[in-house]
Amino acid sequence: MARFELLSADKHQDLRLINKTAPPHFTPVISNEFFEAANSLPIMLTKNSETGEFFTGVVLSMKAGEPPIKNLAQRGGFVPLSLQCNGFYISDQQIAIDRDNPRFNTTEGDALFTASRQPAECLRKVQHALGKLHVGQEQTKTFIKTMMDNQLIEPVDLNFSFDNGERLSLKGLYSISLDSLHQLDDAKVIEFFRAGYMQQAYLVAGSLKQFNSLAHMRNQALLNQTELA
Amino acid sequence: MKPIKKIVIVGGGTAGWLTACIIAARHKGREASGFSVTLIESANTPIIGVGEGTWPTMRSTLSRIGVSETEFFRQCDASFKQGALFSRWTTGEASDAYFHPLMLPQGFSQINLVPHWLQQNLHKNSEQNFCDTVCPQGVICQKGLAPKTISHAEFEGVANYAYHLDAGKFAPFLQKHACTQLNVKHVIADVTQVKLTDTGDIDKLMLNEEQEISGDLFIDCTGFRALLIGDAMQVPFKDCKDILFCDTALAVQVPYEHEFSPIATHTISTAQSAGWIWDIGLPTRRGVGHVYSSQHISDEHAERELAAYLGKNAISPRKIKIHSGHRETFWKNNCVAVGLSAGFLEPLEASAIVLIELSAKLIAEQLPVDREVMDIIAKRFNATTLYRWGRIIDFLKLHYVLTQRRDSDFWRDNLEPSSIPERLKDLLLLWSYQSPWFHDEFNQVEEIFPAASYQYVLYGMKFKTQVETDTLQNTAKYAERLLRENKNLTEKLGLSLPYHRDLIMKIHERGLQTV
Repeated sequence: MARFELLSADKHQDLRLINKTAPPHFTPVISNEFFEAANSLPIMLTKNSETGEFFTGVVLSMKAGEPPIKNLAQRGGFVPLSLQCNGFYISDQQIAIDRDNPRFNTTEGDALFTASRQPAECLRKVQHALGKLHVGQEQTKTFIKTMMDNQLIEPVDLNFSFDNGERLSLKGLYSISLDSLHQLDDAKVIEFFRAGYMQQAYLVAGSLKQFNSLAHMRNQALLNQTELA
Repeated sequence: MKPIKKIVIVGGGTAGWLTACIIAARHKGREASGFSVTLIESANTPIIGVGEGTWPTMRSTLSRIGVSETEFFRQCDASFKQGALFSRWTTGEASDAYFHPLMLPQGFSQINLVPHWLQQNLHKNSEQNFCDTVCPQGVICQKGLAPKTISHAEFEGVANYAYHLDAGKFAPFLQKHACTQLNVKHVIADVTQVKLTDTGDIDKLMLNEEQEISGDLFIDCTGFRALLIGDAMQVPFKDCKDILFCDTALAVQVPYEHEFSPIATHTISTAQSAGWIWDIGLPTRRGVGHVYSSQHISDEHAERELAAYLGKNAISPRKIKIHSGHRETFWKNNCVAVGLSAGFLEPLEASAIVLIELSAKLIAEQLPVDREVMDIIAKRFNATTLYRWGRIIDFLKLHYVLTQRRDSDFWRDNLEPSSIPERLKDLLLLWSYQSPWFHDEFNQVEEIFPAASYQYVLYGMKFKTQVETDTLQNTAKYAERLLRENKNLTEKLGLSLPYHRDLIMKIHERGLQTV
């Protein structure tokens, strides 16, 4: 259950933020993050189960409930904005929080407000991230719509078998089709290039290869586990 | 040499526009070499608007002609159809009902589950119905769930589905698509005269206002009037009221109690004293109609039964005469009939629109390049189409001959051996020893009713087939696994699929994605 409250120094003077909560196995990213994300993680499209609308996100682990396969260093320090802002929302130009999010706490973590009731560093970072997210979400929507309108999005079948005999197949994930991208007419290519879409499309399509390293690392981890046992 | 480039369709109902879309979409890109599709529609002819039920084939048809499923739902008041519930057909009692779903039994291409199910029932002494044993769709229907979620792309789903639609909105929807996207030429005029050549081909059509239209192939979609195939080409009509007795329908539209009333996701067909009542749920209203044999009951009696079904008097029901039967041939010279001009049968298995799709598809795919080869194509078309009509008549009759009802002349007369086609008689005898499965009896490409349909109806209506217990041992384990998997799938889908009306509301509001 969520319990939303508008954030205020008066009310939340004692509130603290823990940064070490377990991230989900898939988290949204905006198009401005593609560059950084694509270096270490697969960027995929998937559908919102309530609305059917596409959104972009990165795959952090291959199975729900498992911790991220790559640690912060292996991700080159990349933390998706959606994780930085986890628990925080924008509501009518104001910041709201989900009081029931496990990140919030009154005993450990960094205080949200200073003694003089100003936003502390950790909150200022969240404010900054929220601002970027807010603007970026609209741009990402336009990017996705453009890809849709030009029939560039295609479903991807992802099947993995691991050395311990486990088989995983990831469902409901989509990527950008390079074949369709290469069939665009010249005018579209220039238009997309100027808008930055070409680059973003290649980043999404290319990042699919990151599944190789994720699968490899997960396989190693599984083998180490069996050896220990 | 006389190349076939100019296709002229007469009639602007569902048959005309659907045929125009299917042919134009298949031959898109040939305009440059002079290929064209023209549809002539009379301003004065009322559209009958046959049947509001389609088959799953409509999914691929709509997808192939390039319309959006979202727009189809929004503009044609469409809903999902996942099969039909046949009520009171077997014993006539209130509790008597079975489903004919659109999903195949589990593992259908690998194994025939019928004998396994029959044997289970023999041993357990308790009757688990066939449909729920082998497929999840009956339960999905009973719970009122949709066959897919908002995350599924257009024309995709977890359960097989067809549509219910408002035929009065479907034809204009197709018309817009045909004219704006597929370059179909639309002429509004009455055909006043059909001019033939010396060889008996249609040469041209004279229209009012001194216009004339020539063409290479003429498609008769003029409905019961059969202006070209009947009047001009003189192809006789082959009646089948000696097999199927229903000849009249009373149709009404019934509003929902409120805007959030559940929408049935299957056609409900309830047997009466001399026919049956259809009940089809659209998002906006229900379409209900009584199909009956006027040889057995009067119109007044039929109206009373309809009122009893509705729980109130039907307000001025529309009366439709049904001439069960079809043309002796469908393609003669350069004229081919599609839709009601080709024939009509009672809508028990929603065969009207699917026959339009299949015929139009066959014409589009086999379209003769030159007049010289047209007669060869026509011969094949006639053989295939005649076969299809025959199988539909057999399948419809099957519903009547499996009944245990003896409560009226109508049901008793239906069992009269002279009214049962020979082929069906043979099959019934055969099926008392072995159950139908997909390759033993049905070998035609695009077989109109798959063997699975026969299984659902036969065993839904408690048909008895002998089981050779010894022959089942090899496949017993596999069958058991499939039945278990079906149970799990039924449970899973029952929990994860949205309610039918909720999904339709979401499609109206948000739309489905194209991938």
